[in-house]
Amino acid sequence: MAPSSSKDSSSDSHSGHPQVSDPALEFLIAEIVRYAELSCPPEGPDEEHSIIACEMAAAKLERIGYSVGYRLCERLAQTKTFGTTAGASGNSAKKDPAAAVAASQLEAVKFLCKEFWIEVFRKQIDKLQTNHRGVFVLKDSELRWLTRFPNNQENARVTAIQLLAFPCGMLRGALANLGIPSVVSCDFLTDQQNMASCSFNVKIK
Amino acid sequence: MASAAASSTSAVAGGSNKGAAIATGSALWNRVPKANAELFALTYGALVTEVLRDFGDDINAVNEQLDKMGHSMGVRCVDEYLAKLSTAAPPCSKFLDTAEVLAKSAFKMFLGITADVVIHEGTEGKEDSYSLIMTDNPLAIFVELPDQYQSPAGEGQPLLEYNSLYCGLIRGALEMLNMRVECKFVKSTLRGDDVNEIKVALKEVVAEGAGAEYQEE
Repeated sequence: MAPSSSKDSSSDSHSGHPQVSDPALEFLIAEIVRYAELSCPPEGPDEEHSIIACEMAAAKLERIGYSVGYRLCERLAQTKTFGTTAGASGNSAKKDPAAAVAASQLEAVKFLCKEFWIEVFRKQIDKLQTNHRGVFVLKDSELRWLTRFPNNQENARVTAIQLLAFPCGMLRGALANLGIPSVVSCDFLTDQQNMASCSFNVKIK
Repeated sequence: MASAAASSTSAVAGGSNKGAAIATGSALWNRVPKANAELFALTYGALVTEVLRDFGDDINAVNEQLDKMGHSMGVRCVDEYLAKLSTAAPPCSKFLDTAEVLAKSAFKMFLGITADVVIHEGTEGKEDSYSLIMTDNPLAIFVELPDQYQSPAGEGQPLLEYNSLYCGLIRGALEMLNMRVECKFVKSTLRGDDVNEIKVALKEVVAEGAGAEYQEE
């Protein structure tokens, strides 16, 4: 899947599918992270204040991400239908509506892991886990935007966590666009040294 | 590659480096990794919305903030540009040389578009300047400005410049080449003009080399 998609993107550069360079997008996102940080200065000298400021900045990034994800998903999902119209899940809908809902949610999350993620990061989510009760864990072993952060540095880690609020927001926005309200949080995968590997926990409300 | 190097030397003599700039631009474009332009535009749009939300009615501050972000992006873009060049860069020693390089190489490398250049030779008492004319604007796809931002609220009122990022980008990039410039969006398709025109005017050439504090004793 991954090699074919990269081939598509190179051949697309001449056709209608518009592209910009990756550094341009990366610089823009770096600036957004910096803007979020600067526009939420801590209100006092205490550690508590700076934690609140961090949270405010993350919320801001999350909000920006939400609006990006919501709109991007609208574009990408134009031609897609989820769940109920397909034959197999249509049958199961008659038997058990809850199962049908779960099936269409799974399908929506799969869409995000594949098409949506490829559009944003040019790769799929590496691993998708679910408990079939509305909790999904999406693991990406190499998130493009985090690959340039140095390992084992506390301040790089803090910034990386802030930056992750952006894709979190994008996921939440994309799901909201598909009619699925959710809560998304993220974490680094601690079993690896590599900072770029992270997981997104999606909990459907 | 050899021909590119040769044309770059001739460009310095000739003053018109358009052909070399186009070749460099498409070579660089083929080399850089790509990202979805819609994602880029939507991200910028979300940012502008957020900045507007923060600054509210202070349109000048919004423009300034966007310009400032463009500036630090521009500074980094120069590094990226020079790092990706495979041949020696055609030297932009004169201000007007930068026009074609910006329009044909740098815009192509970062945004996948090219711009047309109109040079306004400096006359007595007026500084050199040029206009970059773009028909495509990757920052503004999907964008439609609400009425209140289309025209000034009153006489002398500031106007939201959605594309301020470009001005900052150019300002930042040229600052790295020791040129202090002033950048202004003269025409914008978002306000109903048929093209986008950025006017770049040279203010000052900053002296080469490190500051006085670094001089050898």
